[in-house]
Amino acid sequence: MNAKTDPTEKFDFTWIKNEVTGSLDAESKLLWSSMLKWLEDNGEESVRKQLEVSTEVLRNDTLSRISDLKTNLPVEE
Amino acid sequence: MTSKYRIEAVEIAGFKAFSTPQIVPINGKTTFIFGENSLGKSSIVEAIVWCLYGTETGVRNQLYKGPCYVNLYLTESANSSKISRIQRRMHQTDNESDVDVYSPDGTRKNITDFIPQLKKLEHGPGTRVIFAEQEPGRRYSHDLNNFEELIAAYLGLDIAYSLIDWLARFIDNQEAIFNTQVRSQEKEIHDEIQKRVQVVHERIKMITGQPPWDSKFPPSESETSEKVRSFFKNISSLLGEDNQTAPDTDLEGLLNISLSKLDQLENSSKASLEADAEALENKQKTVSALRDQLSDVTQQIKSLDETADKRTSQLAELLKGKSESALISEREQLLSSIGKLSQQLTLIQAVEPLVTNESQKCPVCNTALCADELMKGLQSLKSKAGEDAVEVQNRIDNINTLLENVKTIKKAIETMQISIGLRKRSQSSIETELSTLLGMQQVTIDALDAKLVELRRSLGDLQNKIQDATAKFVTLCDQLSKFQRAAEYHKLIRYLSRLDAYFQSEDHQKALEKIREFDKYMHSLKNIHLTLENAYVKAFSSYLPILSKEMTKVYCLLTKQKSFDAIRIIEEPGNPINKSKRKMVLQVGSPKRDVWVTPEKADVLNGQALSALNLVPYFAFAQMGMSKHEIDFLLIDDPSQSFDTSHVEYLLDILKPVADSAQVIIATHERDKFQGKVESLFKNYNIINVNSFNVDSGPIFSPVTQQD
Repeated sequence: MNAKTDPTEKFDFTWIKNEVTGSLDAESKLLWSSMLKWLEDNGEESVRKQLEVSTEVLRNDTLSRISDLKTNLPVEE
Repeated sequence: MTSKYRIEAVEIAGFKAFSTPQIVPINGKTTFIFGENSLGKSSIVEAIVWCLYGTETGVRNQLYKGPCYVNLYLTESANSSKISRIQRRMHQTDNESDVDVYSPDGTRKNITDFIPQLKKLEHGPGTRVIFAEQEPGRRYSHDLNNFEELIAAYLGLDIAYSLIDWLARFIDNQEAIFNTQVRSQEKEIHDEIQKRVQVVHERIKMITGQPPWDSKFPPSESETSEKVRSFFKNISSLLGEDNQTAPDTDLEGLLNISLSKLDQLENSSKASLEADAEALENKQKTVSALRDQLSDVTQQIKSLDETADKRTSQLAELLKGKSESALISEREQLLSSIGKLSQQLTLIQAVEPLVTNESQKCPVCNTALCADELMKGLQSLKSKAGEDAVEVQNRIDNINTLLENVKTIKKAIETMQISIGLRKRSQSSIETELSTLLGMQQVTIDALDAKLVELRRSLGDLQNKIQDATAKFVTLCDQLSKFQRAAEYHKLIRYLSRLDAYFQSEDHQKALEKIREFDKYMHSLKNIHLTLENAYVKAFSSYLPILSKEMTKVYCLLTKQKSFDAIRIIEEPGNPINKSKRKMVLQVGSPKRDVWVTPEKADVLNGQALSALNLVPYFAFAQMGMSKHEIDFLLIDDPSQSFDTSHVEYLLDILKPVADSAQVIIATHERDKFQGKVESLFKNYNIINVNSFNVDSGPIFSPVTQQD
């Protein structure tokens, strides 16, 4: 396969990145941009780590609020 | 980050065909390993793969008792003097293995740090290895679903492929964790609040079903408090505490002190009346019992008196005016008489023999006595004395019987008199008790009956009073109970308000906001995943016709198929968006006739064609963007089985450009087919001839290095 017929010239990951960026809503685009930056800076593993950490932080924060809420459930006088 | 490595040497011990440690020199070059089958050449290629991935188990040489390990010595392309070492060791006790990486300076590293993202059929910015074999993992290589990752890598779409795959699992996993850890708790809180609200509503409904207030609508809490204050004052007044006002406290406090006052009221009036009634009732019972006793005793005395009188009359009748002593005196005289009569009879009996038939003269008066007459006289005297004696004895017996009867009657009279005396004493005692109990001077049955009537009347009056007091108390209790229910109503309304406030609270809203934030975040991730997958599928699908063409080209060169001489890769119909359900299939066919079949389902290929088909994807992929994707190693084990010489030449033709950027290592038993072409095409390469096999040491080989 020579360079002229090499399809990777057209539909490579850069094309996918642009395709995704152009199709997302504003909020998703923000997260996608972050993912691309992590990918560019430290590779795919970093994207996974960052998403795992972000999700865990968000989950724990929510869990903490829910737990507090549960503790303060109103009781009858 | 990319470090392009070359294999300098492989040290193998206890692995598959190898026993004692041996070093196979590779020298960072393309290497051809020639040798007959079963001499252990494949073990060299497999040792490299095992050292890198360690996935294969059961690799230990069972005839060798020493350790099983492989050392892979690597140099960086940029600096061939720095040698790193990857060492993998098989555990002695199980089929697991450990791997360590030693840097050129001797420090130990983790393999994932040394060769980032290393995995089987590796892609990405790290080291890439292709291990081609005819039936990898005992499956057909043209089963393309197992090769999508590899194809994606060669198309430069590997990151997208990997991210899509990971994101799908990550999203599912995170949502499951969130549901279990967070959402379930939030739902628990929500359900609990709903449950409590429902219970409170039911309780309110029970109260309002029989409202404890007179007004149409429930009073306010302050109105209820005011009524309880008034109630408290009322009870205080009943207790004689006219000026007492309720302390300044809440409704519950007011109810408590009112309840306490009500208890006080119950103890002070109603209880006192009940005690009086009980005492009066006891007195009435006692008087009634004593009255009955007195009546009985009086009756008994009267009866005894009458019987005693009868006995006295009976006694007088028996004695007939005589005294008892007169009778005894008479009996003495009679006893004396009966003695004389007895002497008289004894004398007559003594005289009787003296009377004879001769005339007798009285010795006293000398009168002539006739014997017959004398005997008659004596007989008469004797008869008379006997009769008198019987009469006297009868009289004595009569007197004895009479005296006995008199004695008995007198005894009975005496007993009756004792009995009468005892009853009279009892009568007196009862009278004294009644006199003391009732304060009466003279106790009579009639007076007692009158007194009992009076007592019953008093008791009735008291009981009426108790009934009045009880009714009044019950009314007060009802009133208090209504206030208590009204207070509960106010409390429940307050609780409902607090539950509602809890729902509306900032904390709850913030928690819900956090959940929404998580949902938005997941929504974004799902959006990204879906969009990325769509773009990936679009890009990937666009390559399929080109891949098909490339594979057909390789396939035609490797085989002599006349029919079914084309390959195409298509997606089987299904859901094209969901990658997990998408399935790629490799088909062989005749484009002119537009007939296509999947090789494993139709018996249309000969053995050589099937063998070639297994290698087609590797050679096709290997030619795509090699320099761009920085392929490091291409390891091929016995690629030419069933190939004729011309096809081997073609195979080497297509491997030649691969060898310009990757280190190619090929093991084959067909030296004759390969060697000439290798020598003409390649320069600066290694040949390792595996010549024989020694059971104690393993393969015996001789390396030859060809220089430019």
